[in-house]
Parts: sequence; structure tokens; C-alpha cells
Amino acid sequence: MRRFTWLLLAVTFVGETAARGQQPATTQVTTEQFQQLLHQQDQMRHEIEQLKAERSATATTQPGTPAPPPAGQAVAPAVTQDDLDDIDVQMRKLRDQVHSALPGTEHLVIAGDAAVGFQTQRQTNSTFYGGVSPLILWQPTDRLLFEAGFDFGLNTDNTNTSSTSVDLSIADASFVVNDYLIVGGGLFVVPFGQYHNHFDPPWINKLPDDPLAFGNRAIGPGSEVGIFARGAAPIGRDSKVTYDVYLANGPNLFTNDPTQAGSLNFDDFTDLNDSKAVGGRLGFLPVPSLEVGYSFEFAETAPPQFGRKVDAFLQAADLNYKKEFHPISGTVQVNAEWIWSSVGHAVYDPNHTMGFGPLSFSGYRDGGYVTVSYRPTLVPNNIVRNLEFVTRYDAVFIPMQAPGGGNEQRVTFGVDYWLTPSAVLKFAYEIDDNKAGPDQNAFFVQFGIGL
Amino acid sequence: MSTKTTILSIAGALAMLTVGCQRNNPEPSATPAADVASSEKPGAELWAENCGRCHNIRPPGSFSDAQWETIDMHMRLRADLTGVEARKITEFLKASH
Repeated sequence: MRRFTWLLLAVTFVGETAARGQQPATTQVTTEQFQQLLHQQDQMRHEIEQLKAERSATATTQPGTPAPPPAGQAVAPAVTQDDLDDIDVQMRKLRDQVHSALPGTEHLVIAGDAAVGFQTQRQTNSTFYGGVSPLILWQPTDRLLFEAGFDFGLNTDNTNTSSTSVDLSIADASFVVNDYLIVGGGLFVVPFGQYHNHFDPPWINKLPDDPLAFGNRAIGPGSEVGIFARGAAPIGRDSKVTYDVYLANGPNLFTNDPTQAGSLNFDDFTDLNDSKAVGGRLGFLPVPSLEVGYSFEFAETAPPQFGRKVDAFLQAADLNYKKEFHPISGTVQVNAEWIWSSVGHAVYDPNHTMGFGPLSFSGYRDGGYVTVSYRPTLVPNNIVRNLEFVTRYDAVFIPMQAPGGGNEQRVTFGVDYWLTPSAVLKFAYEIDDNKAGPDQNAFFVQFGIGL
Repeated sequence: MSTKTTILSIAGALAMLTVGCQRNNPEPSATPAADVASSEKPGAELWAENCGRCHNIRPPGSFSDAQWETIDMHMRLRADLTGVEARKITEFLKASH
């Protein structure tokens, strides 16, 4: 028992020492101090194991009522499992404190996600695929955060050329001004709608592929280079308003490419004109389970050599609703977003010097998706509770005369099995109605994980 | 947006940043009266509401205290949390593992 008392004192002393070492967060710990703390931690762990063993042996050899202590000796309180658990908790906290005080490692996190899958699609060959997207977060102070995200992928094109790709998806710095305002800049996820901000990681997206309007036939921005300000303010106990505004290089209009003329290139990392895009999103949460939002982006998109200004005005409306319902023993989630894109009138290759003009068509496009999912979260059976049933309608409507144009609509049905809260196995079948080419019905299997 | 308008916008943003910093120096830790609503709710409730709205909530033991602080700031950006909400969620997660 005396050893136990000394142990408690030692834990308290070391904990205090480590806690003081944390004030302020930038205090450096020498390698010698760190090794000493590790040594003390090992000693404590060893003594706890000894105590547990002794306690177990005592319980085995002395069943029934313990013998009374000798006359004149104080009765020491018994060591309970709660005491040992408490020491374990303290040791874990101590370990975290020691680790977080290491020079260069505090508040540095490598997170991200990964996916591997198989797809078989009409008109194309079936294939396995995979990708990893690490996300590096570094918070050197309470107010400052650096983010860098990468996409590692691989591909073999129709000419039998294989390649791996490394893309920088985000690289930005953010500064907390106050409780309601954060400013920042760099390559950031544009707060245009909710999909890219919230739902596209493979452990969050309940289906294996992206909606058309945010994926293969995107008509809205994903990441852009610029500066931003964002924040939120509560209204009453349950309501909240969120806001985002940004200035960015903005999209560029394809003018010379016969396969993409009239489309917007959202990967405008180095601007090709002097005009900057302005955009933002206003969100409203009347209750915590529902969020609706309106987004816009305005930009002058034509490169100077095109000879005339062409404006683009993009708008989006989004909705996210998630709630648990006892009568159906589960949770329902509804996501919906729609984008309207209006690009000014232009004539591409007006003199036929590039061989595909003169070409003119409506600059109006729209598209979006509605996803509904149900997960029986209130069912007692573990296997059933980890299932989730998903269906999605998604579409893009692009003028048929435009290069790459033509309407496309899809309906997808999926079943997911959640292995952990951030690891999911997905099965999905997609029915495609493509006016621009052959229908490409597809079957997918995908494993997605958040790291 | 023209170059001149862009420069004026950046100047306005910097002015707003300066004012914001002065009002909240040195640490954004106080609970303003306007944020009473969020401060009424415990961290566990804010955690379930704000994180669970978009994805499955990850167990508090998934990360260390320092990692949670960094991840919560990342999510404050992505999910447009107020400072009070972010701090209460972080404290809850740190106390729960």
C-alpha cells in the first residue's frame, strides 16, 4: 500500500512537471528530459502491473473475509479497479502531454483518406482503381493553421500510356481573428455549395463516385487560389448563420480547344487575366439537423487574346438534412445541391482559323444531385445497424451544340456496410441516360477509409 | 472584378482583420454575450450535432489531445463553427479519452 501511495505521488509530480512544461505550448523539452519522463512512465507501468498481480494473487489465496490487521497498525484502503483505471487514464494523459511537448511534433497531424475499388461499366473495360489523399495539418499557434492536401492516383489511358498522378488539392493558411471570423489564403476548397467542402471524401460520400456536376462533367468550382473570410454566428439556442466570402483567380474560359470550347476551366492556379472572381456562400441552420445554403461566384473568364470580355455568373443552392426517427428505427439523411451556370455569349473560332468554328451556342448549363440514405441505427443487431441504403439522382444539362455537350441523367442505388465510423465497404449500381453518347450503366465496389 | 476593385477589397479585408484582432487580443477565449446560445449546450451535444450532420462521428480515443486541437481547428474552417462551439467540442473530446 505504501508503494501505491508513492506511486500516486510520483504520478502527481510527473503530471505536474509535464503540465508545467506545456505552459506555454511552445516550451521546448530536451531529449534528456523526454527520455527521463519515458523512463518514469515505464517504471510506473511496471509497478502498476506488479500491483495488479499482487492484488490478483491476494484475491486467489485469501478468499472470504480478509484477516484483521495486527493491533496498532492502520487499516489501509483497498486498491480498487477504479483506482487502477484512474491511474491508467492519468498515464495516458501524461503520455499525450509528453508527446505533444516534443519539439517539432506538437499540433502536427497527418490525416486524409484512401479508396480502392473495382468498377465495370458498359462501353468501357472493367478495372480496379485506387488512390490515397493525405492531408497535412499544422497548427503552430492557437490562431494559425496550415493545411496541405494531396491526391495520389494512377491511370492508363486509351493509348496504353500508364501514369501516376500527384495533385495538390489544397495548400492554405488560416488565421483566427475572433470567434466569428477566420481569414486565410492559398489554394483552398471553394465554399461553393457543400459537396467539396463536406461530402466528397470516400469515407463520407455514401456512393463510390461523384455526382456529375461535381465530378466528370463539373460545372462548378472545387479548389481555387485566392483569399477568403468565413465564420458563423448563433441565432437563439438552436439556429445559426454561416457565411463565406472569397476573392480568387476564378475560372478561365476554354476558347481554343475544339473539345472544350465554351466550358470553364476551374483549375486556374495562375491567373490568365487581370480580373478576379468574387464569390461566397450564405448558410442557415434553423435547427441543428438542417442546413440550407445559397452560393454564388462572378468572374470575367476570357483570356485577353480572345478579344472580348465574357462574364460567368454561377449560383448554387444546397440542402443537408439528417435526423434519427424512432418509428423507422433509423437515421435518414437527405443531401441536395443544384448549380446554375451562365456564361456570356461568345463565338468561338469565328474565322475558322482553328478548324472548328465559327461556333456559338447558349452559355447556360445546370446540374446537381439529390441523395437520400437510410441507416437502421436504432436496430439492436450490430450487422443490420452497420448497413446503409442509398439512392441518388444526379444530372447535368449542357447545350447539345457545345463541345462535350448533351444532357445526362443517372440514378444510382447503393448498399454500404460500415466497418468502423470511418471505414466503409460500398456496393452500387448506376443507371445512366446519356444524350451525348452511349449510356454507361455501371457496377461499383469500393472500400473507403478516413485516416 | 477589376484590379482596382480587387486591391480595394483586399485593403478592406485587412482593415477588418486589424479591427477584429484588436477587439479580441490576446486570446479568443472569452465567451461573448452574443454566443450564449452555443455556450448553453454541452460539448457532447455540439459534437454530435455539428460533426454528425455530415459524417459518422469518430470516437474521442481516435486522436491525442494535441491532435484533436488541430483537427478541431481544421473542422472549424470546414464546418463554419463559432469559436465557442469549437472550444467546447475540443474540451469534450480531450476529456473523453
